[in-house]
Amino acid sequence: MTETKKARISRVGGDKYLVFDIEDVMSIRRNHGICAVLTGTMPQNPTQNLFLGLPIELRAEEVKLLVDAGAAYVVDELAEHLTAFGKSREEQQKYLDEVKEKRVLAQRAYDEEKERIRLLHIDKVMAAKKNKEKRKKDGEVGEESSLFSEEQQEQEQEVVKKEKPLPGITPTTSENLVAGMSHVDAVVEVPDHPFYPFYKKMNSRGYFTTPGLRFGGDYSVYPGDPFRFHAHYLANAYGWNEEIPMLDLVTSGRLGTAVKKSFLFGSEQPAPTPEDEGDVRMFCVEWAGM
Amino acid sequence: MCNDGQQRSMKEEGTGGRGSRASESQLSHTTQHHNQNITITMAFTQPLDALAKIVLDNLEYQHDWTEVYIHTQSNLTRPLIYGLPPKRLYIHPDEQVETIKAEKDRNDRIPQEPENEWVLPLHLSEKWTPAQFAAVFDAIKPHPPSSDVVQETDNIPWMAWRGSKRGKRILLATVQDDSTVTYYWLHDGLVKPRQN
Repeated sequence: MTETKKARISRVGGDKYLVFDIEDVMSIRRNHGICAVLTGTMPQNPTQNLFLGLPIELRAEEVKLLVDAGAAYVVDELAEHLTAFGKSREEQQKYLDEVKEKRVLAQRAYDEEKERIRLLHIDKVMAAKKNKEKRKKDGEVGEESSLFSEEQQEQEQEVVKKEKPLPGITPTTSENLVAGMSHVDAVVEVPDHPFYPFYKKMNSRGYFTTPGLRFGGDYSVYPGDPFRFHAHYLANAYGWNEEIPMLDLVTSGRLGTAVKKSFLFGSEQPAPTPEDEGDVRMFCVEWAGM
Repeated sequence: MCNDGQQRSMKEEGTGGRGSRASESQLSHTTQHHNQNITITMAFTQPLDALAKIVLDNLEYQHDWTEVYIHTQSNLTRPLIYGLPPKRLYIHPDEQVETIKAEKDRNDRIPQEPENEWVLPLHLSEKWTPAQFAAVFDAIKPHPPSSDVVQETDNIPWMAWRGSKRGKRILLATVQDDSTVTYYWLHDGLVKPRQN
């Protein structure tokens, strides 16, 4: 799979990194081992948080990894939208036309579905019609009601002939609004993150990471896609000269063993010369069983 | 306490760089020879010796370890302990898989003799940095110095985790003041967890 399209990461509120495009989400997961966290909820039911959807939220170190690998770019959402809204009259009209086009498509889809269902039940409809005609012949149906029903039918036909208002849609992406923009003005640099060297090393070895709260660490580390594997480690990243209280090692080791994981901690060893990249040392803690 | 001994040890520590051959050849194996090698062994401060002694006693009398020794080395900031547990303490999950395979082929159990292990005595109130742990691993060999000759075979898969080929690991013996000692494995590098 050759991926040439760069994923678009929106920076919102200064420190939240979101991806809205499902194609980007899939590409990031397949090609870069980043599954991130689904954060989107339904606008009509914002309190439900069991089944979340788009967008996904990336951690700062994941964003840095993608940007460094040339697989993504980050835009400041606010700056970009302000630029987008300041477009020329024609471009604004073009956007409105595109929205209208989507509404037409929505109407067409709705009509097609309606027709499909009508055809599904055509036998019943025909039978009902026949039955009605039969009853008419038998004189069971009064003249007034027959007149009324015809009138109603005519009215209905009139309504159909009139231009129906197109259904309203809720745009789920702003792709039309921002399409064709160079993004140059809004592209932002990603700041360095203290966990980045550790995270990069884990990622380069094919490990997937998710936020570690559920197992009591900075990260939960999976040997592959979390859909297919259980986590092997709960992991913390430390500074090379950061002091770790012994009780932290013991509690994390204990906790890890209790959930059949190993407690992993890693740190970037400063490079001997500034040109070299520092090596990341990893250590694993397990209960010794004695 | 001999002050100049401490200074000398610090100096040596500075020159013995990480993973260098020189530092490994400096192993001054002073097991039970404290009095003869006084300039180096006296480099260790009293509380650390006491700490090592607590762990050593705990290993010997509570966990039935044998041949337990205190090990000092010029490029280590504290004494280590090594000894022989009564049963095999650590089996790598891959080794376990290979052993089960081999047992199936032979139709017989493979005896799991205990291996000598390193122990790092620590007090609960201490704080260690990754740099310090790395320094300990860089200063030791995978297998502690011991009299028992470990069979080294290259072509038998289930033996590939024994002897000098095994990964570096050390038992963290954390002591609390109520004489509780907890033991946790610390592995050098990424080692997958055992299925406990």
